[in-house]
Amino acid sequence: MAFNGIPFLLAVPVMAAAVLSVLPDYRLSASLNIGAAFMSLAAALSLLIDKPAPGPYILVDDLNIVFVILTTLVGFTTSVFSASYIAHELETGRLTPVHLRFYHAMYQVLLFSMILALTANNIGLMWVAIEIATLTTVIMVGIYRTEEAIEAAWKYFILGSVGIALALFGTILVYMAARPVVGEGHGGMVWTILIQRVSLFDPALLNLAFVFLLLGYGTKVGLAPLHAWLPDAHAEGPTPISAVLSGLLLNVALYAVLRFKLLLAANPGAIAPGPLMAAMGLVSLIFASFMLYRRSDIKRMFGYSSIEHMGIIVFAFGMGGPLANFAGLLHMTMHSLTKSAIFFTVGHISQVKATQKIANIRGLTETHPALG
Amino acid sequence: MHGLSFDIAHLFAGSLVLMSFMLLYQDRLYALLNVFAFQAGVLALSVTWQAYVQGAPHLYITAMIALVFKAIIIPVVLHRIIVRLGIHREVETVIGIGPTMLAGMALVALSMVVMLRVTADADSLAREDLAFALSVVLLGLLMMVTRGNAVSMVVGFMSLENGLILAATGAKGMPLVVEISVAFSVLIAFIVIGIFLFRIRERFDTVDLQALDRLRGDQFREEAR
Repeated sequence: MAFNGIPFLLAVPVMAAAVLSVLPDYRLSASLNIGAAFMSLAAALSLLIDKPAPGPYILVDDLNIVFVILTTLVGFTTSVFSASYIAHELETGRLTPVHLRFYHAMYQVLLFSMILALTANNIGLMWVAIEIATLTTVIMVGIYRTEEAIEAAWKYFILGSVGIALALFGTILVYMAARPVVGEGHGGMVWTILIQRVSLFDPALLNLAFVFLLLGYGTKVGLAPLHAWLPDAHAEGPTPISAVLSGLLLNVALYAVLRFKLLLAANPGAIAPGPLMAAMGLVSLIFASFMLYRRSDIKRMFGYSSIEHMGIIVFAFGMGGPLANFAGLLHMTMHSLTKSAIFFTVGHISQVKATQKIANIRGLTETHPALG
Repeated sequence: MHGLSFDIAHLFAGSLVLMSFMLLYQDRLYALLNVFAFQAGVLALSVTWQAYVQGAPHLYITAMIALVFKAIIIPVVLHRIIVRLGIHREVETVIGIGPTMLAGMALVALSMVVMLRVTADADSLAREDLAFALSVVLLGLLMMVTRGNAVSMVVGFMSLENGLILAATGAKGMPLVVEISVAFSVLIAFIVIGIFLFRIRERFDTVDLQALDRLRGDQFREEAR
């Protein structure tokens, strides 16, 4: 009998979230958080061995398995880091135990929604999952309740909601394009069916849909004209969340864009999505590299750096072709791993130095040789 | 009979666009909320009609959500927030009403040109519904851009979302519409709670116990700077 990892993969974070939301002791819940994240990772790795057949809602293929494993891996490492991080935050009084209970539950909900978005075979389901991910991260960004944190969360909220609203409109348009070919009902939103029949779709409608989808999910990727929320959210939220945001959530949104790019590429009449993506990627890259100059807040700086890397990745996928796609995936994997590692280091540094200003971080090699 | 059902759907969709224009020129928050509640009511009617015509009973749920949640609960809650925060006299358009209306007309024209050209093959009900829906979406965006105040931004966002629901229900046989409308309601509920926290802090935080917390946070930041 084939073991199917998917239900397990999705059920672990949900159950963990339910347990964590009622568990009062933060030490216990931090370790439980780590345990649950590790179990998700194990479930994700099991997908490598045995790939379940695509169903109407869930799909595992060669593209998203990379994303799923990456997500669960970084989710696991971040949960380890966050255990030490929050203990310190509790000491300095920036977070209270009640907040922490909430924080752990939200962390698992976030993992769940990202895994769901990555494995969804239904473009409507994918949209709902990304929306849940947005909501949970908004709450996490604002968890410090300082004026700046709330402002950052608000900005993220408004831009993120408009983004996902546009993405929904794009999703509806894709359905409209699919309907005459695939027929009414669920089939019109199942990705595996769409990709088989897409060459018969009305290209004009698909073009329009892609514009909305690129703008909508692009907001969440942090592409240049729509990036305004990203540095703020990175700078003001708890550092583990910055790591998850930039290491994972951006990837999830990018994954959504990629899925639709594949759809467009398979339709001969539609515009080539590549140049559009390449252009947006380049603009983000150039813009972010200018913004990187003279940043004073270290987390903000790495926020801009994430925009820059996302620009590079989107550019690579925009170019297309096996080599560029591989380069994009490789860069994305590396970016997720290094950027989350950077944020772990930065989190520790800003805690030991009690500052996020680059100018005030001095003498690290003397006091903390490991961090320096 | 098909002609009549088409006309009625058209009437509702058209009145949603009209309501969006009405939202654009309201400069008092209470009036804004009333118009919004009215728009949500019309949306509920429109969705009900679609449910009836398409023979899709699950759409009645979406209609109920639109009616109960968006036409009643949200306006009442926002009304209370406005009273609590004493901001009902705030007139806060960033751009004057004349230019805003002109921009709105331009956006409607744009969405007509784009949608009607693109969907030439689709059936006429769906294509005009989509054109209207896109107009409502764009007008909602315009409203979010031209207003500075958190409450009216949220109203703008909700009217944008009305446009999306219109599009989703107009696309015949679309799956997951109910799930999507529930997800949106949760989103909006969060936003409303968000404003409450946001505005509360902006206005009262010095008399709030949490000010102690914040002060400590500030010192932390002072040090940082």
